[in-house]
Amino acid sequence: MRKAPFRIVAPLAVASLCVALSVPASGQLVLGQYENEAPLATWNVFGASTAAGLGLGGIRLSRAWDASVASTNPALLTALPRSSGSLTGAYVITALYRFSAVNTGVLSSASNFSTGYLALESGSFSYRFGDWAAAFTAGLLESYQRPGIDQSYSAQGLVRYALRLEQTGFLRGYTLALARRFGRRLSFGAGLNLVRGNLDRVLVEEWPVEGITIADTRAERFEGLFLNAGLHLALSRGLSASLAVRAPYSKKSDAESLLRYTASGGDTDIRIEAEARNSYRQPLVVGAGLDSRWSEAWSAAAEIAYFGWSRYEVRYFDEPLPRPFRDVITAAAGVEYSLKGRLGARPARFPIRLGLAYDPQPMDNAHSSYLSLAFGLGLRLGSLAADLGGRVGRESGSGNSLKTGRVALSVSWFSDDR
Amino acid sequence: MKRSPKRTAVIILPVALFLALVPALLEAAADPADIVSFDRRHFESRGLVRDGLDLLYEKDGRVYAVVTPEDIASLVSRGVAFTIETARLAPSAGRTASAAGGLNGAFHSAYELDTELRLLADAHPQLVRLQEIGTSLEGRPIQALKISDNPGLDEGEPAILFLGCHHAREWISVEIPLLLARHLLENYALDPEVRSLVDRGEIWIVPLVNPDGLEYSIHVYRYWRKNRRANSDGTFGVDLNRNYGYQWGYDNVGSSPVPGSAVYRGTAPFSEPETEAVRRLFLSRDFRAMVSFHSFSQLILYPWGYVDLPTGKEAELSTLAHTMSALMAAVRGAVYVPGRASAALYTTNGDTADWTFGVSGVPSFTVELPPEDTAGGGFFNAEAEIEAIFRENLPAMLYLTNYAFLSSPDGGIRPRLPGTLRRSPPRLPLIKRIDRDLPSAITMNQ
Repeated sequence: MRKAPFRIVAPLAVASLCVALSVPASGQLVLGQYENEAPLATWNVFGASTAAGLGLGGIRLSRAWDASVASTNPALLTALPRSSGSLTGAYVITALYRFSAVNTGVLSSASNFSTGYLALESGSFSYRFGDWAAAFTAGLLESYQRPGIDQSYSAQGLVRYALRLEQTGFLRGYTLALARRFGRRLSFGAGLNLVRGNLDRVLVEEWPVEGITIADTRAERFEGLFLNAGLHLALSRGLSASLAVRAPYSKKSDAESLLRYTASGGDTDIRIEAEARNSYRQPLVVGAGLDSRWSEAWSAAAEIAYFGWSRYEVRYFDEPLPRPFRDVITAAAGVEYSLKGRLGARPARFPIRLGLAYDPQPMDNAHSSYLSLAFGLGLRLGSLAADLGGRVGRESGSGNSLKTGRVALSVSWFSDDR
Repeated sequence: MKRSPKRTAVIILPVALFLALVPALLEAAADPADIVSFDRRHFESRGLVRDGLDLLYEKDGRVYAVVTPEDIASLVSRGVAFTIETARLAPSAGRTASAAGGLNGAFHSAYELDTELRLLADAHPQLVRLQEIGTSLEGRPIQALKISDNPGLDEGEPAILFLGCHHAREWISVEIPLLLARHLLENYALDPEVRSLVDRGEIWIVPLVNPDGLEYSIHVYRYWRKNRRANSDGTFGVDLNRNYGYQWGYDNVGSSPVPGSAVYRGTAPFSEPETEAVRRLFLSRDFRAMVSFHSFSQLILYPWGYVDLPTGKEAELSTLAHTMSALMAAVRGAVYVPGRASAALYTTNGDTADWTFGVSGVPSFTVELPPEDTAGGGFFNAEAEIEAIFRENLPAMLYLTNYAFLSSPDGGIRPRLPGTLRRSPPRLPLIKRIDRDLPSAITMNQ
């Protein structure tokens, strides 16, 4: 019952307290999007993305941009030139409001936080031999980072209380895929995927004058294995359809935790250490798309993807954690106009892209979704290609109007002109 | 087409292998083992070491062993007290609830506690009923154990109530009432004092009043105190030990009207489903005493908390508190300082003890468990200390239980020294006795 006398519930350096929120009639906390294991920006991650696909709204399973399609729809590998390679880098920035101890009762802010990263997101390579094609791709699939919180309270020239909260982590995927063309119209491909990553979280509180420290540290090392497959069917000369599936799988982690209380005054050092094998049951993903090219310059693509989040299960340090999630369907569509021109003495093409994306999040107790506008530019020069794509989105449903943005640059090489 | 011998072997070999394995698989499936624990003293006194059980280890005064269903049947037939630990210690063997190795170590989470309470109820159906007395804000059950000789019947017996974990960060306050429940059930057949208490009354134990807060304390922020009410201003939590109805909101010193305060009292008395659950339970039975466990400071507090004035039963409450303190100190020297809550600590209004005493006049205590101060750990206790803290509280809990069961409904009290029990003389049915020429030595029973 006793209040800790030195526990300072004082205004934090970041912002003032008490954001007026409309809350559900039940009066319960609605965490929203950001559970600890939630990927940054969106839960709905399906394979690697390219700058070109990003510019078209996030098209990734109905058009063969480069070898990275191995992680979404490997059937498209047969549409690539004999050999290809690509690299994609991205800058991502995302807003959050409620996560961990922030805006859930311990720390409060008057506005959203932002966090992001700049990274070499993916690299891929493919080779086509006859009716067969093979590819390898490696990519950054998910980021688990959160804004770092570093707060302190001082009085009379002394730091009386300090709190530090950090979470970092990511998930990388590696895909080895094989595809085969059957006749002139149909292709089928399948891939074996390995994911590896980590998630590290630290929350430290200190009362320097009293010599007391509480540290709560957790570390997870992820791994998972799953299959993906796809079909690609040329319906006509300018129209094709695609279907892709990612099998459900368990992302498992070897986890460690240490909860420690030290007090120099009493020579006290109390520890609770734990190890566990955590699991996060990832959903079935099924996507379908259409790609249409009705002239040399104009083309468009559209996709939907189903994420079976209602079966999402988390087992965390030997306990099932509640995750009331629902199935969602994402959608993306975009149009491309390819400008012909020359770069120096060489003929070149300059694709210009515009797209839209709808990305509902799976939380059942807060129907939140992102609506994004996408844009892109490209250059096709012989066997080289470069693409720049961007997407800005705004979320609705959580009451926090979270924004997200992404800019990507892809550089590709193909063995012959496309 | 004639099949080649090689192809035949390829077909037969895996089938044969499977058939060879099937009996082993079936045998394993048909012979599940459980992990049980015994109180070490009883294990030795009953000579269980000669039973040839598959012993695992000894920890914190308990001996752990792997047993077969046949072993269990034998133990039950001989009246040996044991506790099934399988779900707690062997996560793969059914519903998982490890209170030894998760984020909370040997302390129980809401999930683990719920599992353990169900196991206790299943293992001792003749002595205990598990009752869900309410549901928390986030939909978690608030569970109560009723321990009595005929738990399924309403015998109108006196009752005592032990509560734990109004405040989320006080993890030790879950363990002590839980261990009391286990002790009563395991020792009913072996300990005459326990048997007497269980036979004479109802011992109600609610180890976890604030499951939502506890889960937040375990998973998000260790020092969380309140429940998980989303307040209208964007803050979270109501202090459940300021939400009871007696002198609720008496002043803004003993509680706060500010939602962001650690001692926020809520929008109204019993506005929270957790306290409402306790209220309904307390008013439904003839409770003669109440103990609410908290931490830290090593104190035994009694009303009033809302104002620094004695109640009309100051002498009784003080005597009880001092007696319990002495019993605790006798175990290993830990001093729990007894005192009136408002004087010993600070004023609190809307707390549990003030309410139960205010509405019923029964002895009501807040026991602040160890350590004494933040230098000793504050709201942290070493896992190795759980059993020891329970052992030092046990005599006091048994003493108070006995005291409660001896008290009369109108509040008249017959104080007893610890360790002495005296049964009330039996009550004869109403008979009109007609005697003639009675010898002078015969006396009539009452």
